[in-house]
Amino acid sequence: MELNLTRSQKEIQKAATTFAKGEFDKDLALNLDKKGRFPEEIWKKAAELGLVGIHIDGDKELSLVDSVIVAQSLCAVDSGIGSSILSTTSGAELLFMDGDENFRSKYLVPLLTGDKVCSFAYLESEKNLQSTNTRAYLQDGVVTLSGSKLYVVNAEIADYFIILCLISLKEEPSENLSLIVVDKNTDGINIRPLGEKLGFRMNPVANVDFSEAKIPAANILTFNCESKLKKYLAIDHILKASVAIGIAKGAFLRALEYTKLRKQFGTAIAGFQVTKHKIADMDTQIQTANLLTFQAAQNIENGNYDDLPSAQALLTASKAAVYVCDEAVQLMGGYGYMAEYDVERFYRDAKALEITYPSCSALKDIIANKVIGKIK
Amino acid sequence: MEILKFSEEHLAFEKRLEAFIDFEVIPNIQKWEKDKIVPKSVWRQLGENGFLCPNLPKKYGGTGGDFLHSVLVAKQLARSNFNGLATFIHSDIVVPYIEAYGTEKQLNKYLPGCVTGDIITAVGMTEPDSGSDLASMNTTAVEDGDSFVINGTKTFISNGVNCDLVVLAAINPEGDNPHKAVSLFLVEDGTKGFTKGKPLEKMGWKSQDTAELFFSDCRIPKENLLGSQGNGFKMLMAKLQQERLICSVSAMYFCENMLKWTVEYLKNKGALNSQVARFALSEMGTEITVGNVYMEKLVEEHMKKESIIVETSMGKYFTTDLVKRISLRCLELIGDFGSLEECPVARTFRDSRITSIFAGTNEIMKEIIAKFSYS
Repeated sequence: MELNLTRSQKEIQKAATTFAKGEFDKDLALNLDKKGRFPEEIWKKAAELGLVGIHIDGDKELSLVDSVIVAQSLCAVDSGIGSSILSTTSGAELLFMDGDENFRSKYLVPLLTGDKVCSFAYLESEKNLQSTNTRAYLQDGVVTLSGSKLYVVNAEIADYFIILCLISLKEEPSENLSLIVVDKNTDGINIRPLGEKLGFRMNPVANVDFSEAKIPAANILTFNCESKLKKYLAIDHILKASVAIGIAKGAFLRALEYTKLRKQFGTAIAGFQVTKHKIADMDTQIQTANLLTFQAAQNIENGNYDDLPSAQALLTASKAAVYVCDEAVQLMGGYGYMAEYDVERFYRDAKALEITYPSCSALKDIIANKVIGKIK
Repeated sequence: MEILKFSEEHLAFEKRLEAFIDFEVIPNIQKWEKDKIVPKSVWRQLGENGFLCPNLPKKYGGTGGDFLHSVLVAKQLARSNFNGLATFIHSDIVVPYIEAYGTEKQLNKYLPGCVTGDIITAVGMTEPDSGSDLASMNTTAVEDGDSFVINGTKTFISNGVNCDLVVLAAINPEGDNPHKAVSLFLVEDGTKGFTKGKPLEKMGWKSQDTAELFFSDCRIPKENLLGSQGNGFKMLMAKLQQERLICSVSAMYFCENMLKWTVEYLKNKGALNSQVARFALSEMGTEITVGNVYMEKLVEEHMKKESIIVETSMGKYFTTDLVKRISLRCLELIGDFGSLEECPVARTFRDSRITSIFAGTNEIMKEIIAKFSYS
């Protein structure tokens, strides 16, 4: 099924797919996944083409559908390399929404040009963002930051972090949930790598400790960031959903091709009724997730940051990705289990996406709260 | 709800094995997973301690145990959360072909080594173009004087690098009916024309040396025919009951371990106050308990030498699907920590995914069930 894409969106889709097919070398992907290395060169090339943070183009609103398309197209060709490219701009929308010219030129533009990597460090408990304990106080133009962040993706390769923390001012005793940009070479930062991962192995993950790290006050991005954070999470959910759909599509296309070529009992296995129905289910789930995700992205393009559609899109897409990859492995039999045939890696990536924050449980909480509303 | 009764002797055997796993296996898992193979010396250590082929009779060097010993090996290996050292493929799947169909000469020549671990075995059935459709195999065995000449490629062969002896299925290209043209052969490592590939890179079973085997004008003496000529298909089918049963036994122990670990993890995190978590654990615990009763019943029937092809196929389908579902669900409950390899359930998830594919895919299990039950 083809969505109603504009001409420019179709061009972006074509450019992203052509780029990925040309650059995402299969052996390289296997090797990067095995060694847990980030695809630096390909990321830089993607940025040169304008594919990194394509939705952040300087207009008032984000052209989020463009990034939905890029994420899907890149991840369908290779889930690891594709998602790695997308991961480099983590938190960039916060810089876009709240940053002045100074922030934009210093911290946002280098992300879009592929010169720097940003990592948004927010998690302290696996359950929610409400339990922030990383604290900072502002005195004489300097912020002193202490605390720990968990599961920070790309911490080791990032050039700077956006940190979710509580900031208290000298004159104002109450604490504000705030965002601050911290350069990685700041004293008082300790990065503790978390070792090998189940999926998305090209993106190392670490816990990051801050102990009295001194940061210029000018690096405070947002005071009282709760509403901005909610907006950001709606965007983030849609981008994650797009990665999930790309993964699902990639595994689906590989399995589809395999079932049409693989002959057993004198016929291509795509001819078996059960295989046919599996393929029907897989494609239907992908399309369902796709529709929800596009609609949620369009909402945001229209300035509506309702978190219900984005949570539903991500829940549906991440479930679809696990389901589709699981069936792809089964359809491809022994080959599906071999690294060389890619789908086992897509499957691990899909599962990692599904279980890491925001978990299905957290998404269901968002959805249920909206749907049920207040109980008298 | 336990059906199986283990004797004092069984429990002593298990205790010794438990210690062996703790001291000789668990500390080395990470290294072996990196090396993509378990050293042969570990097999010999296992053999010395009587943990290989535990139910072979004493006259062939065995300890004369029963299938419950194999159940305990599966249980303890599952406890190690480690699938590289796939001794059950050797002890409960391959060696039984030799034991059941070998000539006295073959039995005396090979079985004692299988017990000591000097001979590691593999079975060669699957080929690049022949998986579920076994009869479509292309590996040929042609009679030539006092030998057979074998040509072809086998793939996804467990113990493929370590194996010293392969029970190989090959087809007589002259045969009209492929089901009556397959024979089994014993091919020794080192035979001219027989070469092994490197361990294949897989989603899991990282230290299991799964490999391709190549036969190019590989000449073996006629006396290495196993069983009667043209009877290979029947022999394979006859032995698949135990192969599938031991897969079920192993799957159920992996299920139990995952659930146990997940409960502990959630408890320590204080996450059991979540109703969703409690219901999920209860549902999984129920399925595992029901599955265990069925699995133990299958073991009991199998030990009475009952033919339980349909029931075993049901068990293989149910338990291997269950182990996958439990791993997926436990990871969901565990959350972010499950995305790290440090989390043992992450490995079980990767390892268990093959079980609904190997030893006959679950699609084949369903065809068997339907064929015998609903046609």
